[in-house]
Amino acid sequence: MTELLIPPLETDAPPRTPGRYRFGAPPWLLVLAALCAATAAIPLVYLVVRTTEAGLTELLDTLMRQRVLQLTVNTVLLAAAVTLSCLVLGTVCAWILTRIRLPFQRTLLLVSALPLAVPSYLAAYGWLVWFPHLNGFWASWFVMTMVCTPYVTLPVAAALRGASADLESVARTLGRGPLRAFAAATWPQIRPAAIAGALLVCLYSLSDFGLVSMLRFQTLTWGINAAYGASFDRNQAALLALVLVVLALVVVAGERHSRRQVSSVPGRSTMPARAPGRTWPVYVTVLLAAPLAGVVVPVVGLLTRLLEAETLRAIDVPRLVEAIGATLGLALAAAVIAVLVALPIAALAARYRGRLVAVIEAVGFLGHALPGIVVGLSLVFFALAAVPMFYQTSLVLVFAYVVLFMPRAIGSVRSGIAAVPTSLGDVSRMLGLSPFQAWWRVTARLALPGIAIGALLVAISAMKELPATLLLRPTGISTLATELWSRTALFEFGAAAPYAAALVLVAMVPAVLLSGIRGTAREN
Amino acid sequence: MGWVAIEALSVSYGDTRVLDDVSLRIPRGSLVAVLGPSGCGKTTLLRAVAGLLPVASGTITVGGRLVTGPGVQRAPEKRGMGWVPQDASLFPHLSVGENIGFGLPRTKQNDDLYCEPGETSGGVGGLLAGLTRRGRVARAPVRVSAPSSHLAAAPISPDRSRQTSRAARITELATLVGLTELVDRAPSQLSGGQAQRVSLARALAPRPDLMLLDEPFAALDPLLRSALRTEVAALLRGQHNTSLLVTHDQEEALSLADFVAVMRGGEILQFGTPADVYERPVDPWVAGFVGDTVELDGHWRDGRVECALGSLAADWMGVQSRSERSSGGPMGERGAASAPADGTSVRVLLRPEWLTLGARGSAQPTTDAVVTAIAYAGHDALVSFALADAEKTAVRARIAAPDLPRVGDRVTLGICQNALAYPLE
Amino acid sequence: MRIPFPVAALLAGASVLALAGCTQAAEPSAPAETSDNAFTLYSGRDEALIQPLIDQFEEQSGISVEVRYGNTAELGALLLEEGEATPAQVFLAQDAGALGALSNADLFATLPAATTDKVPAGFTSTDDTWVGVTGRARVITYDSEAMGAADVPSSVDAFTDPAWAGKFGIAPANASFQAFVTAYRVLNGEEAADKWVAAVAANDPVIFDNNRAILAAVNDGVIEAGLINHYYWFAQAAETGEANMRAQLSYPEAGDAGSIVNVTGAGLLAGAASDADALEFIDYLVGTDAQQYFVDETYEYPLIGGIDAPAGLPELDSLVNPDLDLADLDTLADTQALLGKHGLI
Repeated sequence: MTELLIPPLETDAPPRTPGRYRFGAPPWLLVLAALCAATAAIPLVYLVVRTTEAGLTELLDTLMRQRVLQLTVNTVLLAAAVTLSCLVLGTVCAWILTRIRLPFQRTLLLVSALPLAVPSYLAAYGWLVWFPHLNGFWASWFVMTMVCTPYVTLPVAAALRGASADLESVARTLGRGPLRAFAAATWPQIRPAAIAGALLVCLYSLSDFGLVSMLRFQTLTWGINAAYGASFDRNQAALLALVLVVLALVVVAGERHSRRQVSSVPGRSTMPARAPGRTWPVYVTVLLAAPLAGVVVPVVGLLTRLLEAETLRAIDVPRLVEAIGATLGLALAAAVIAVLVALPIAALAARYRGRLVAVIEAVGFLGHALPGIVVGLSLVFFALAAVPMFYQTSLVLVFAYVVLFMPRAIGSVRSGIAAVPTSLGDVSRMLGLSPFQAWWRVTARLALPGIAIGALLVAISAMKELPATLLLRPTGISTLATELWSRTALFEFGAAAPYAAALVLVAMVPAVLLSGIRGTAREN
Repeated sequence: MGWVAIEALSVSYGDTRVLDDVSLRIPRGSLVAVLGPSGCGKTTLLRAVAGLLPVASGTITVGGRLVTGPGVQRAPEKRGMGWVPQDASLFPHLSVGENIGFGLPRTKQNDDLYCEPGETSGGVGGLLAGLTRRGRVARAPVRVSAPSSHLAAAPISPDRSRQTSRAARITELATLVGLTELVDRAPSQLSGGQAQRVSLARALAPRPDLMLLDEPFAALDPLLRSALRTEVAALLRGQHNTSLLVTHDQEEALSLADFVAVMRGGEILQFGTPADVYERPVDPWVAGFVGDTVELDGHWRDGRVECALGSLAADWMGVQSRSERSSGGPMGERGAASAPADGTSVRVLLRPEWLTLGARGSAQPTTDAVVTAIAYAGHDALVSFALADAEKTAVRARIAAPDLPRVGDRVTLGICQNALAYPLE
Repeated sequence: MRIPFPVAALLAGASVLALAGCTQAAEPSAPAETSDNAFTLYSGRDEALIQPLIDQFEEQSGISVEVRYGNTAELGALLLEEGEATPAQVFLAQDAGALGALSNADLFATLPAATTDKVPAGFTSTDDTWVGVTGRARVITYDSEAMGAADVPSSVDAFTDPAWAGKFGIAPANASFQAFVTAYRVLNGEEAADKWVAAVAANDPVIFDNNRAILAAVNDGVIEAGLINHYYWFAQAAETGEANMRAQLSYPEAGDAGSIVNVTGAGLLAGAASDADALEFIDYLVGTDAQQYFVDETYEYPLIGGIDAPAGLPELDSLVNPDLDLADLDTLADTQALLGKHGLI
């Protein structure tokens, strides 16, 4: 027994992090991912073109304005506050959903996904019905937090389900209280999912205009819309949008940085859910806060407006059905194409590191930080210059959705791919599969939950999108969002209600599906 | 000699050279173990052979086929090699049977490759066909070339035959690794040992020319590990497979392999039979890595070394040129390097089991010692002694359990083999 | 489920193609020399109120109109972006600011005098690049539960009074507000205008994004008064019932800068200079039928003679008409500079 004296050597750890290759990415993947990311860079090119049209002095002049500074500060404050509160509330909700044995668990999970189905402008409008005085920072912060929380809740719940409880038990035996044990042992495991969700929230709150315009909190998107709307000053709008881009890049870089520090934690046992005891109303209240504030309050508000309406018009059923059809078709196409475009970027980011990889991924996220009107106009610019025959076709509109919402797909697809061990790919290669076959039969197959989550997130967002849709839709085609817009613009709440209801209901379908996917939000 | 030939292989990660000019020849049908500590580059070597990572320079040929060379980098899937990773890496979305059959083509045309005479009849014939089959020279289609007997044995439609042959091969492999009952299970329902067997069966199914095993037993518990590795070695030999096994466990390497290559820092230090590597290690590091040693200072004098144990008959293990020891082929009798001048300081090296209690059977002068400690291990024990010399030099001997002395006993130590003398570094 | 990769790739590709195939490609906007009985309209006016008029025009003329709805500002930005490549022949806008911007970018063709002459100067462009279609009076909307009609200020100057601090709403980024400030500058001089804007900005105004939101806020009692166009009140009253309107309208006294008229209008895109169909539509908009329609359905001021203003509204003549193109970009830029100087935009 030679083992006796020679201390057992450590397992020969391969010189690579599991789930990640140590060698550089293959050139074809880099090129493909760069091409896909380039689609998201179209708005950036447009903004730079527009900005350089203005002279340097004009640029500096605009930038130095007190108001631009104020708008930027407002934007940063709102985005930071909303991100932080969503992170906390979402994580707490996810914890309750996975660690507390509540009745109707499945339903509660589903319900907590529902705020996703309510467009932010609708939520803000609904709140104004009840509380007309709502306005400013705190109102915007509150409503946006309620609407955005599911972006954190869902991935964190998925990550918690897969997280090993061994470490938390160890931490408890070492004298940590439950909260500190959670922070020390479990939080690092769910952090990538939480941060990825928080990133979506942050970019969303940077780019949203509907909610802040309703609740009268002046952010950069407000300034951008004002520049287009009153001054017809595209250069100034472009400059403000560039400020948004810079903010977004900082956020994306920060997310990448904090994601990187996480290592995988082995361990099999998961934490058993415990009975809530007498405290269950507390848990349920916390869980239902977002659905109540994000769905019930606004929807009931809309309904009361409907009841007050003098002009209850007959619902134009064929038109409603047509709008539902267009909404579904466009959202579906956007989801499929966004996922296809996101795949190479996500695959690259999941498996490889390096400055180039970081840049490609960051560029892929840009579109999400820009308001729809900027992305819409940039695609007008791009389509007329590059593919005029497709201008004002659904193709360009779907493309705009892809640019706007691809980041939602990138995040979850990346998590899905990262959770598939690279050794499975190696094994399939050794068993005679080509790289594409191996990818398709193994990696993509196993990353399917992540891919599906990405597709559903894109679909939900595309259904609710308004400004780019207005600009790019084929003449004569209406979605539920544009129909809703054209009616609320005229105070026709009676006529608008069916479209609002249909929009929320249709967007609930992917939201419900989303809550049902046991996501693989774990990353190595 | 040299079914698999690795010549002057170098691999770099960025600026770091992980494999440096490695050469290795693997005789057909043999099991070669690459043994080395963590980070020595052995897994990198395996991945380079598999084609899973690019090499900086060097060539790899299998059965005369160049798979890696200047301008040649065959894709992993076209190398005809089997791969058994450390963690089994079963496809979680496929059943055990599907995992085993993963590498077996589904299309009819390709499937004929695997449809051999006698195989479609399944059962004993199929099993025999599998067992007697040697690694294929090339992955050229093997035609169904024994028409009369084959057709008579399997008068079934081509479609059916395809299904049958694939299913039969899966059953055959499942039987081979003793998991016939589990083919419909999901991988998550398997124990670690079972999963590793499935992984092995999966790699064997397409009849690879070369099996690559990356520490396949490392993740298993010790009892299961030793049982499974004996079984696997027997199985690989039974299949007349040529295999390359990577491990950091010297017992595993010595007990399983026909030849052992000891690696350190991206180089192969020694390549030989297990006995060769254990009893005649090329340097003290290799000696220490493959087993326990007793090391003493001494002086060379006319074929003997003078050390604390007295004047011992010794073999001079002087430096061989690097090219000599890494030439790749297993070294039988290594050409003795010329002995040093008398009086040269040398490092004297013995294995603890070469020391015996009492003078009986000793081919060497005996010496007196006091027992200072005993590390008991059931069947034997490692006993520490202090010699009677001025420095009370400590040595250790492996003593069979029935003969164990007690701490404090005065004993006489004999030595049953020639000591090994190495130049001082 | 097993889908071979190539099949899936094919499916994805096919769905993209199908998508491209099922949408009509944009028609090339070759300048039509003659009538082809069709044209494309970008309408910044709301569908529910303008589509019936368009239907009526289609029926009468046999010309089919393809309409793209959007809000005026966005469509203006869209047209600027499209430039000469626009598929549109006519732009119908809710405010003169957008028309002025397009005119300034040379995107409009000059309209025949026969068309523009129907509308008196001051309610249309100065260079015939667009024509005014309707007028909207600038009004003060007030919370009828907070004050009686008599207590409503008769001049916009009242809003510089600290008594109004935090109680009144404006939409300074809105084109109609900026037209009003321009009028103030013209009527009262630059110095007075600067003083007014500064005082209002310092008087804690509640800033809104648009007129509609101001009206909603007054109607909900959030603020006591706001500066809007009269049109919005009628639109909301039509929905919720006039009797249920908490917000009421007050017209500033004649001669006050607050009592100006904002015009809506239409322009012919440069590429459609000789498009007879498009021109026919613009002519139709300033014809008797259409003007009467606007009076009856949207409570706007008609801009041609012979048609009465909606009942209950002050006469158009009593409102300020500074006799200048309020959409003129140069003056607009000065106004924006003024608002920017005091941090309102």
